[in-house]
Amino acid sequence: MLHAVDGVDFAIDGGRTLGVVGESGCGKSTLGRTILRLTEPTDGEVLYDGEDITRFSVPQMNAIRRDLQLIFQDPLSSLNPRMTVFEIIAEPLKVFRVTSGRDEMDDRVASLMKTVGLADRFSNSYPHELDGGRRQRIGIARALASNPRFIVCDEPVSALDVSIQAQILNLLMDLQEERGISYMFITHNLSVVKHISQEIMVMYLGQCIEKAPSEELFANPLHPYTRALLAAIPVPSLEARKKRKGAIKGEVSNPVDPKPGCRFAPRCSLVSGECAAEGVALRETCAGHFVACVKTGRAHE
Amino acid sequence: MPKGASKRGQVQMTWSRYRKSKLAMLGLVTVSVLFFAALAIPLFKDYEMAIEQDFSSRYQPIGAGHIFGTDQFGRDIFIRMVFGARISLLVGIATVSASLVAGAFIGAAAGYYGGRLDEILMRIMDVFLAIPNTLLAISIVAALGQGITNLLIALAISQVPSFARVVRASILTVKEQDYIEAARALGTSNARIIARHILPNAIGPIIVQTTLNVARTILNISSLSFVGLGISPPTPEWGSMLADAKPQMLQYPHLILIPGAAIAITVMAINLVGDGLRDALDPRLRN
Repeated sequence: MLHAVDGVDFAIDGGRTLGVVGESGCGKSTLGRTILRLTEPTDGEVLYDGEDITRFSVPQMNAIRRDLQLIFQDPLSSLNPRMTVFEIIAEPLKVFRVTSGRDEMDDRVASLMKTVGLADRFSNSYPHELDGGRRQRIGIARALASNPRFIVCDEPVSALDVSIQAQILNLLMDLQEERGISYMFITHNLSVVKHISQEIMVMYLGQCIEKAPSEELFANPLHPYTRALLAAIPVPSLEARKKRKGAIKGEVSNPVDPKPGCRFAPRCSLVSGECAAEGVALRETCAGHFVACVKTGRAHE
Repeated sequence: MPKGASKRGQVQMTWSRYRKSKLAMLGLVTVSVLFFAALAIPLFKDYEMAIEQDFSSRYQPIGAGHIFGTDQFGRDIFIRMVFGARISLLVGIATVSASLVAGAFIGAAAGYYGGRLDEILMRIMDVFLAIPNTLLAISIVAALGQGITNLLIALAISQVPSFARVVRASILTVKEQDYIEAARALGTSNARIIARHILPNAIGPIIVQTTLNVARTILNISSLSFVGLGISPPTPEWGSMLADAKPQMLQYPHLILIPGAAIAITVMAINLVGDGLRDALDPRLRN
């Protein structure tokens, strides 16, 4: 049995951002989709305003979907190629019946395009006629159309040029400030996540292995995997090149029926017998900093 | 062309690629001429001319007064050909439209919902596919009785499976795209997702199948009429004209050559259009 996401616990407060970091295939995206019930969970709870939405019926779910939105990684494949920019942004307004009448819808779409920084003249363009940054702005406008309170951002800048990445990140942060939206920000880019989130969760093979406030995680990483991730951030200096060490060896182990104990153990430099023991739980080492590691977690206590 | 192309863009790109193929253009011109003849000429000629018998002018040769000559009852073959074309094309298009709608519903449901529904629907389609098309149509006509309506029903039913398969396959390729997920995140109803987001993006192969099925239907109408199960005399129809001409084919070969050639040319021209469309819409050939 493959568990793409297995026993992950977290909470996101209003107007805050949780960054979710991990390598390809660790279950970041599945986690995001499960929260929105685009993938049905086999077990567990998703609480929204204290209610477990995994038990909601389809009409109940559709009623709260306007509050919970999603921004995708690939801005082209996430936009219907047969619809114009206007139609794409108007679609949520039609589905949720947000606006009454054609004029109000025109106004709403125009103001949404303005909010995300898209010029009016693009409203009759098709997504493939625009560049990556503008496409992603369409995706953001679509997500904003229903006035959501929470948005899952699934690697929203990974497919963009570095110069555009900053623009999109700043746009997302401005929107958060103005509208108090909460984000779950999924990425494999640590510098991006540091920039945007107050709290960071590191995932490995479907499990949360470390969770801490951003500053704390970067200043004081505890899990060997987190340390290796941080060590892998390129530093633009000749000196740094010589000092670089601690790269992880080996491949991610098979996620089907994983062995008990720490899932990172086969690749870990600190591994010893006790790592194979049952149940490596998250424990709090200092305020708000949780880590799931037998070695470093204890050493710090 | 990138995989996501706009409505305008795609039509233009497809046309510019389509135009490059001489055979496809030949097919398109031929089909256009046939359509024009089948729809325009009957406006100036009386339908009576196609069925009224005139024994004083039987077996006229080609040329002189009657372009294609006259048949064993003295009827002008050219007029009969034109009215026959009208029936073939209209019945062909009507049946294909009907089976396209039915096939699209079945294929869309099977492809979109998947699972057991897919399994049940497609196995039923497989049963129909296992019976040869013409044989299936013959059995249905034999069961329902002769007549244009029954012919239409029989041909439509026999084409549904091929459409269901194509629509299902196209939908499977589009279904996994992110924009479908985005639509689901909006709580869009399944019907709206299929109609607004999936079908418009899966239309290419369906257009090709439609074109090719029109050709096949025209051939089937003629085949059924030839064996006496399709459109019955005196209504002019290419297949039944062939059957009528059979006894005198050695003395008066033009009686059988003209409808025969018309069937062959029409079917081939429509197939050329279909092949051309397939090549023009094929993403692997996009540049």
